[in-house]
Parts: sequence; C-alpha cells; structure tokens
Amino acid sequence: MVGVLGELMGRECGLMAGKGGSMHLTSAEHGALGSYAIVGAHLPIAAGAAWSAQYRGTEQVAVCFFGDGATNIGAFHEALNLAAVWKLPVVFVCENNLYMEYTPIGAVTAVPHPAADRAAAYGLDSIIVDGNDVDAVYAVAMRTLARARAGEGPSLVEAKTYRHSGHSRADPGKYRPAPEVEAWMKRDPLPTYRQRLLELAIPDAELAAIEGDVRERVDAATEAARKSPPPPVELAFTQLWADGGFAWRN
Amino acid sequence: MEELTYRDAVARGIAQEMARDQSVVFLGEDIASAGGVFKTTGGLLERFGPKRVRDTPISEQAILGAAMGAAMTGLRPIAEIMFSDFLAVCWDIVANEMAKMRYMTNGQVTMPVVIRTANGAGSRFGAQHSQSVENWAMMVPGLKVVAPSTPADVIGLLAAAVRDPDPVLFFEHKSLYGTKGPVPEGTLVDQLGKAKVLRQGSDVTLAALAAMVPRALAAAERLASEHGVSATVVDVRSLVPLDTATLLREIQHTGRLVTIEENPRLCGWGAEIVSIAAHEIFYSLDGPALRITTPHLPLPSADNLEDAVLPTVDRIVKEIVVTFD
Repeated sequence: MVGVLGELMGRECGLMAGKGGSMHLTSAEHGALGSYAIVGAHLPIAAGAAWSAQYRGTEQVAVCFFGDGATNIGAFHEALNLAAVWKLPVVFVCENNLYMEYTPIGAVTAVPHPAADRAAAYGLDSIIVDGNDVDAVYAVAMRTLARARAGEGPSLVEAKTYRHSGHSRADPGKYRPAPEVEAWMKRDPLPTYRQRLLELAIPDAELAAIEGDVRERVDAATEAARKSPPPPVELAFTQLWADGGFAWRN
Repeated sequence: MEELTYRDAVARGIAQEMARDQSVVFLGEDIASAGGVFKTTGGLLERFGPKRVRDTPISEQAILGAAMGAAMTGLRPIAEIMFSDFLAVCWDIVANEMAKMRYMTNGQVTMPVVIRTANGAGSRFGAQHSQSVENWAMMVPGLKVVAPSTPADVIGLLAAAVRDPDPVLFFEHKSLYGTKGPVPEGTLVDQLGKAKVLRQGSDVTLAALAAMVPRALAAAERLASEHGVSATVVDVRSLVPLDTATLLREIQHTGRLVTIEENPRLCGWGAEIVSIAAHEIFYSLDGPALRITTPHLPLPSADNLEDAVLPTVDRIVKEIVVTFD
C-alpha cells in the first residue's frame, strides 16, 4: 500500500520509485504485470502472459481489466480473436462504467453492450454481471477462472458499473445527468455489501472494526509515503536496459 | 566453408536458438505451415512442433502483444512482422510498451523479445512494402536495432539478439534473401553493438548498412580502379548499440566520412553518425561529411523509378568522386 501511494506521489518508496507514475502501477512480484495507459494495449499483452502460462503448463490464468472505451480499439478485437483461437487461459473483464472519458460509451458504439455483444464474434458466451454486486462478481470470477484452468479458453465478462467521479483530476464529471449519478450512488458497492453482511447477521461491531482497521492502515501508509523522499535524480538514468544502464553507444 | 543463402541463414539461426533453449518460441503470419512468405522459416514447424512455432492471424498488435506478455513471464519469443512497413500498425506495442516497460517499472520486468522483419526495397513492391524503417526504431529509447548484411551475420546476430535480455528489432533485408555467403559450421553467436570493417582504405570511409553494404563494397572497387580513390567500408550492423569506437577510428584514419543509407533523407541513421563525428573528431576531418540516401520520398514501384531513387553503385561513386574534385 505504501508502494502504491508512494508511486502516486512520486516518492522513492513508490512501487517503481517514481519512474512509472499513477498510470503504470506494476508489482511483478505480486503477479501484477502492469496497468497500461494506452487504451486497450494490455489485452494482447495479457493474451501473451496466458500463452506463456499455457506453454509452461503452470495452470496460471491471466486476468485483464479494462474500461468500456477499450472495446472500440483494434487491440481488443485482435486479442480476443487470438485468445479464442489459441484457447488461452485468460479472463477479460470489461468494467463498463458508461463513460469512456467525457463521452458516453453508448453514443459511439454500435451495440448496447460494448463487450458482451461482441463476444459472439469470437465464439464466446455473452456474460453480463452486476459489477456493483460483490457476490455476483465473485461467482463469475470463479466460473471463468475454472473454465480457463480447464483448458476451455478465454472468457469475456462485462461488468456493469458506474464512474463515481470524473475521468481525471481535471474533470468534475458535470456531463453526467444528476438523476443518473444519484441513482448509481445509491448502488455504491461498499455500503450495499455492508448492508448485505448485516442482513446475514454479521455483527455491526465486527464490520466497524474492519473498517476502522482499514482506515488506520490507509492513513499509516499515506503518512509513510508522504515522509518518503523524492527519488534520487540518478535514478532517471537507470534501468533502460537489463544491464541497469542506458548506454546506446560505446 | 559452406555457402548458405541469407534466406536459409534465417531458419538456421532460429533453429540453432530453439534447439538450445526451450523457452524460445516463434510466432507470426504464415511462418509455420507455409514456411514464411519469403521462405525464410521452412522446416521449423516440422522440427519444433506447433506448440513452439505458431501461425497467427493477421493481427500485428496481437502478435507483438503476445510476444511481450510471454517475454514478461519467462519465455524468449521471436516474433515476425512480415514487412517492416507493418510495424506502423503495432507501433504502440513496440514503442510505448516493450521499449518502456523495464524503465517505467524500474527494472521489475525483463523484455527478451526479438522482432524479425523484412525491411527495404529492391522488390518493386511500392511505398508500403519497401520502406527502410530502421531509423523509426533507432529513435525510440529502449530498443536495440540490428540489420545484418551477410548470411553469417544473420545467424550470429540473430543468436545474439535472442540471447539478449532487451527487445531487439532485427531488420532482414528482403533484397538480400537470395544472396549467398560463407557460413562456418557449428554454433554461431555474434555480438550486438559491433561494426565490422570490411575493406581498409586511406582516402574515405564509407559507413553502410544491410543492402547498402554490398553496394558500398562495389562502389569502393570502382572508386579504386576508375578514380584512384581508396575507400574503407564499414558495415555498421548495429544501430543501437552503436559502435562509435570503430566508426570514429575508421573515419579518423581516412579523414573523410560518407554514409550510405537506404532510408529517406530526414533523420536517417547516418545523420547521427555525422553529428557525432562533427562533434568529436572535427579536427580529424579533411572535408565535409557526405550523406548518400534515398531522397525524402515514398518509394515508387516501377523498376526504373525505384532504381532512380535508391542509392545505386553509380550514384554512390558519382557523389563521392565530386567531393574529391
């Protein structure tokens, strides 16, 4: 957590020591092979990681998350086709939050469900899940992961959800109609799931304790990241090549 | 020593590395069953099987994305992009992803990928199947760039590229596929970042790459026999890393530099070498440096038009002779 927050702040303690930034969070040791800032680019890369798992016989599955906006770029279609043809162990998860950046996905897409409606083109089931329902998402995850591990190939999941704020820090998100925002905020998955747990007779005090603990850990990590110095300037000149340096001539 | 074609050297180089290392896999369009559109990869499917030698759809982003994801997770893929012009449709994966991933993650991932591609003119294929795009690759930090001119170099440099832990763009020249050269027996492993001095002279140093190397050698012969000009010829071989030590030494020795480049004029690799020479050995130069390139044009298709724009032996000789008047 300190590593993630440190990376966002450009500190030495960041996951990538400040060389990546918020759009490129990667922790290879945890199997998190990167977040990718070019929309859709990571779908073929995830297919490659899945191909490698298949080749090496590791029973690993690649899971690739992307937004609705990625469904209209070529890499999405190339990756799905290749993954289907090669029966790769990969689960593609489209988080459809209704907006690409500023433009609603529905205004620029030929089909109502930008991912699920394309699945048939690659011989895949059309899978739509309520992305704000933790249990429903979990069930779909288990099903699609099992399919991948069984050698039956990729899945494409469209999780319906909502973007609670603007696209970026510079975007207040004012183009979203107020009633739409209001309706979706009522379906915020965190309070919704809390309510479900209460209904399942989990004591409120237990939930409050978990929440308090999490808040404390986030606060502590934030504080630790703030205290971390900026990365040393020499770091800008390292790790272009595997020898650690950046020389292009002798 | 055995004579091998440049074309057959490609398959031999790939086979040498696949036989040595199970983590080497090979993918691309028409490379397996068909043996490659330039017949460079015949026999590999039969020898190494469909698990390691895979035909792909016409999906260059998927080819290179798959190679990248595989490289990040323990494999050493060789990916073929059929014509180097097609790099433009998957340049995101090359320039934004493969080239930068190690740097951005501060060394968390390693990217041992080789992208082989058929580069260059001479086949009358026109503007979108004939380009020399090695300079596109050269200007992206994080990519190594190699372009062999002989069958032995194809094998040795391909082996070096496969064994290198960083992404390498391996530019084969399609007009050299039919050429032959001596190839030693056994395993060949060369070194990236080493230029080769092919001919030693005293009046001028010609730096050339890929298909321009045999033209530079032919021009050097004519310069000697018809004009009394003695030329050194350096095969640059590797643009990144660039062997400036060899280049500057050879330029200082003759006092004159001519680059012979197939790429269009602006930002060709020769400009970088000229700039380095101008800065670092200016007082050893006896005259202005000369760049002989394809003009800043797309390539036309008709035989006579293509010949008119590429640096031919005639043009190379003529342009150099003028500088000695």
